[in-house]
Amino acid sequence: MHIPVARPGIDMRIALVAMGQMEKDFGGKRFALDFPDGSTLADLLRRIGDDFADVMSEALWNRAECRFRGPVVMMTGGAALRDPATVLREGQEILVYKVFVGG
Amino acid sequence: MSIELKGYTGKYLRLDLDSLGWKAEDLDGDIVRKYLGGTGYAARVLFDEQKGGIDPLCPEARFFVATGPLTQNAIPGGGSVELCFKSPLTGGWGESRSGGDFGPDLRRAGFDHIVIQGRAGRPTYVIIRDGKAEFRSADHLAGKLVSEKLTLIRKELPERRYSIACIGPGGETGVAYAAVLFDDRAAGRTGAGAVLGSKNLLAIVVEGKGEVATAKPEALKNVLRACFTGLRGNPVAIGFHDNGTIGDLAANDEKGDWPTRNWQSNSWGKGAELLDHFVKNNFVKPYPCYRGCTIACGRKVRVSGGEYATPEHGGAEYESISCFTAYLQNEDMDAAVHCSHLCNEYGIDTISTGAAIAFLMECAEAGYLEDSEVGGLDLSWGNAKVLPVLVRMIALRQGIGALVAGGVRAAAEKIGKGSAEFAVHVKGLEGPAHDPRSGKSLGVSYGTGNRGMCHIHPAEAMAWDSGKMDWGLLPHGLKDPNTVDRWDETGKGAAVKLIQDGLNLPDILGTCKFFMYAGVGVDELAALLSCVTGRDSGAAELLAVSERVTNLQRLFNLREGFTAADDLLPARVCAVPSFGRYAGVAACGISDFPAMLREYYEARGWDAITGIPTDATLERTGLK
Repeated sequence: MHIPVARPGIDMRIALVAMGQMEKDFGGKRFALDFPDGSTLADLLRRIGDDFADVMSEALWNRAECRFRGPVVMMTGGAALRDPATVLREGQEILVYKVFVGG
Repeated sequence: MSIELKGYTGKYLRLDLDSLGWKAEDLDGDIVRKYLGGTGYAARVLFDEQKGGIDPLCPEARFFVATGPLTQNAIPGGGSVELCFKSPLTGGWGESRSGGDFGPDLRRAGFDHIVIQGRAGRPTYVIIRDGKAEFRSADHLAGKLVSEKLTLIRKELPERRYSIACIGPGGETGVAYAAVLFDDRAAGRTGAGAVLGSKNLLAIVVEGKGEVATAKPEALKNVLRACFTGLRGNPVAIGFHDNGTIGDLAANDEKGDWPTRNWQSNSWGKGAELLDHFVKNNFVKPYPCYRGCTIACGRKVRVSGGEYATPEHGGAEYESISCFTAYLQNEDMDAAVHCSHLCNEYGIDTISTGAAIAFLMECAEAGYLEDSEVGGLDLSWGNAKVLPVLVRMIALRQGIGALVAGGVRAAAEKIGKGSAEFAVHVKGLEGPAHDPRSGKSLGVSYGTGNRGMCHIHPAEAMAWDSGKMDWGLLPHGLKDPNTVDRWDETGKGAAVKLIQDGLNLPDILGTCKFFMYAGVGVDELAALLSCVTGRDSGAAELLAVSERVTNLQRLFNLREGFTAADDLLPARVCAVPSFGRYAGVAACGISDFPAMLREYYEARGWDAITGIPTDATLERTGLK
């Protein structure tokens, strides 16, 4: 998928990648999302709510609080993305996994 | 016989409670070579030392506390201990695992295992330290809650760091599903607490500074580095840490993996709401159950106020909460957290207790209980207020609690009147909070697990056909779960055999199987074993050991009189749900479980009708 270079200071583009079973939940695999510079994980979650809440089940997405419900893990660069204040970067690839936590 | 392999202390402790004597004995090298440790070593000893038909609660019954060669704080999942015994609940193979530092501390105290026999003349506890055992009076502990016992013991041993295994009042009164507690962790299922209670042994304290030699320490460092690097970036490990097992409440409800109203359905519709309440009101923080755990799936939780207030404690696992919510259609999460804590304090298994209460509620609804039995209690579905009352009554064997203290199978035999339909169990072990109508391979797991209707020992197979996990078993012949339909019935028996062989390994090696979910698979376990012991078994040999252990436990059960009929599932577990998301969805009902079972028997090399391991299988697995 082509991710064009963002226009400096104006916007950036990140790739949201639905891994494994999440592909069915998102209705697709890769999504290019544009954000203003300085956008955070909180902004991404709001965007996910705007764009995907209607296709995601209640088990997966908490509409009221604009966050995933249950064991959904967001990762970038091999590490977990947790803090809503984390600033996003141009070209960043964010993988979203729905995992089974057993027990 | 001495042990040439590293990775073991080489000793086990035999406690004779008749005489309050103890002896340090050498591990049997042949048993180590063939069975490795953990539930494997325990199965061999229990099969050989105990006669079939023995009363599980008689003094001659053995109680085995097992560790494995990978039970070390430095190893992924190494904070683990297995309890093995003849179950007073099922009359068959009893096995119960806990996380925590007890297992590694037992090895630091100088022993790989403890074998307990006899019965002390009065309440007793034992301190195991630096290769020795010391018995002490536990008169002052008798009847106390688990936390009270722990406080009193710690007052007597103030300056040392040690681990404690403890029973609660439920073990002392002999509730057939009494647990053994390791602080906030429970070895919950099949009645380990009742066996210790029958022996008048209320607690076991272990402490030591001993080291267990490692065969290849430099190689071990490299393997550990690779494991922990993998774990850091593993989504399952992160998911466990961030959510705990309770995190699956909403997802399982949606998937039809949430037994509801005593298995009348597999889905309720309240999972999201209950999970949200928990996250907002009850969750405090993640915590690791043993020093060094990098997953830390444990949850510190509390109910801050009100009638269900609790102190901050470790708990609220998926199973415990599900058995006090969906099982009973209780919508009060605070009450569920409270009852899970109460079960730990009284020392009874949360799953069997929830199942027993669900059974009572359904019996009451059907009019099967006498007024004198009910004693004025309101046993309506969803009545949260009665739940803590019932937990106490069960633990103390009072009133209606006494009726179900022997398990739902025994209770149904007493009540009669068609109540057997409401007793959901296999081999006497009540069903946990996963439903084979979400992924039918779980049905085979439930039917064939040697300890009974258990999702985790050895394996929650629906995590494969529904959850799409593979535990690193694809190179070893497991079908890719992404090519499997969760509601298909063919091909599941053979898959479950392999899943069981793989997932049994942590119980044999002495580690936590959640690490297998997070990428520490059979190949990694083989590498760790090689570094620790010097034994260069590959994955194939480990799976062969696991198969041997499964077959031996099967022989244990056959000797106790179990037959293929005991592998069958209760009818309502196979039935199409009558309400909920999957009401009327014919595909989710299990239409031909006997066929699934026959396929499993074939994969195992057991007789297709009787389920008895054939001579050829016994020969192949080294059991003949």
